[in-house]
Amino acid sequence: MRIEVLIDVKTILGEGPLWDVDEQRLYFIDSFGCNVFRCTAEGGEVRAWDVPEKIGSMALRKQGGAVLSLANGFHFLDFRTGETQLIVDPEPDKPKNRINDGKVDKRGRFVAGSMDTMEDGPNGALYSLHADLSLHKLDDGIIVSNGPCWSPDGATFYFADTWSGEIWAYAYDLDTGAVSNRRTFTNVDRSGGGAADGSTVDAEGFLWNALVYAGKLVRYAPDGSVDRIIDMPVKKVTSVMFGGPNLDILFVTSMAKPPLPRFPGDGAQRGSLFAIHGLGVRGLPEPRFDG
Amino acid sequence: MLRIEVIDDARAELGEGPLWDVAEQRLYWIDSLGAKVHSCNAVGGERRSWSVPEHIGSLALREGGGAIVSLRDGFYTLDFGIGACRKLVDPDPGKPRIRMNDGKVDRQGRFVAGYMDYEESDPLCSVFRLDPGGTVTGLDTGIVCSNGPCWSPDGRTFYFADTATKDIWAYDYDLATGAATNRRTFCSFPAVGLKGLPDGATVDAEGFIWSVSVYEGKLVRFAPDGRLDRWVGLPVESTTSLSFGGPNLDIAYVTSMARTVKGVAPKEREAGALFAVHGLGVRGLPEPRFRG
Repeated sequence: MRIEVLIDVKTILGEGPLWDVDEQRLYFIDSFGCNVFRCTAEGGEVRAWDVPEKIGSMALRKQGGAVLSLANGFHFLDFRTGETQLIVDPEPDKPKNRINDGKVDKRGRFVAGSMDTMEDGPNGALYSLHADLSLHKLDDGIIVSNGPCWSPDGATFYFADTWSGEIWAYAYDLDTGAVSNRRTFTNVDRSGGGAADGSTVDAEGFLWNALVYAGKLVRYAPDGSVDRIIDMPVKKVTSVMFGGPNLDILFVTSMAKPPLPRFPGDGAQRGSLFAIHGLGVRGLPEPRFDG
Repeated sequence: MLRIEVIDDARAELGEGPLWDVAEQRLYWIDSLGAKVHSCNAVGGERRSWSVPEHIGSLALREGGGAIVSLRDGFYTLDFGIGACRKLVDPDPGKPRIRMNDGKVDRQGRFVAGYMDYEESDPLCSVFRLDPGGTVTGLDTGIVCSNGPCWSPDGRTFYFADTATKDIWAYDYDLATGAATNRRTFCSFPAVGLKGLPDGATVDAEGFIWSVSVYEGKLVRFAPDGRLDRWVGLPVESTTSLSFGGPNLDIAYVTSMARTVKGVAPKEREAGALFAVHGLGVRGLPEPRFRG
């Protein structure tokens, strides 16, 4: 097992690592720096794009380019021109919200949730953007949306409201994209100040979650029990994704500054992009957005 | 850039006492409760191991070859050729609840090691200096768990921790006599926000003190004035000690433990591994050998 700083990028709020199998490239974002980054599995050939608003997540499109969740709605990004184009703003009446973490389901829908930027009130909701660009609300009453991901068969949807202290599981209808039967998947260990941030599901169906503020990556078995923990060089780890030629490198983002003053400081490598080799676990290819 | 790797997935019950020897270009370390001495090259290869007859707290190499070890009940020599331990002296006999723990060689070649209470609860212990001639002298007493002895680059300041106090202390250290006086608090872990306890320690070439925060899993670096300079989180919480080594003395080797503590087994599969931490941008100092 080896943990290394892949890029000492000092992201203010690094998030959303996304390995694309077709391109063999890693994408990740700086939510507060308003950047999209791309690099190789070794952290080389780094490209950066500026986006006009705070960014919560991104996914690649089958036809090229990306879909983004920006503070003011879902947008397309054209990598060649760097231009963004609004698709839909789900919450034009909620200026204190922004759209946060998102991922693509096994049928190509982009699912992303919003958050209260003060991380205070249950003002957020969870949305699904379908290939026809229609928008569907899946859940609401959420403070901070994080860690959407699916079981390998796509029939279980995992999602966390960071400040609920839980990760939830839902039954997921692959045909319609509807969720039902929300239940507690696991109670997150909040004793060290940690909270559930970004997640991914590996090829064995185990869920990896970044326990932000506690500096831990936690692997949960499908029954919700803690299988394994990796302690990280920094406390503010934000999200995880398997990638690399064999899908066996775990990429981990982190933040250089706390998003709000009430959150703690961090170690010397804060804001770095990390790579972990030798975990003995593989991820699954991440689907692209169908729209 | 920072790179942390498992170089021996040893699952040591209580890995401790990493020691890089410049002359041999090899790393020595111990499993205290597994009663083992291990050595390997800079990348964790060419491993050799020796069993010792009691729990082991620390090890130092001798100038004439072989090692001096602090075992449960005293200072012993260890002959690497035949693997035999021979008792030199038991500095604090007749106390079955305590064992010898962490130790290191001062800049003049004397070996300093202290005891710990197996229960880690009562101040039953002392720290002793073994001079090359075999004389043993007490340096301090009233200690629960001796850890992290090390010296400033000029040898005139001795750092030492009673893990139970959560403080690292500094003493004036007399180069000629090896006497330690004027004990004061060098740093307090809780005061700088550290949630773990001070375990093994070393001093780098800039005179900064590195410690591990055990049960928290951090390497921590303190300036000579006691200010927290920086910290780096490690893959397991049960980190126990560190030593700088490698061809350029710029790799921090870190030991850890796999044992169950207070009924809780570690959730990290790497617990008990030997780690190499590259890219800290800091060099260590050559570790002196025992002159006896």
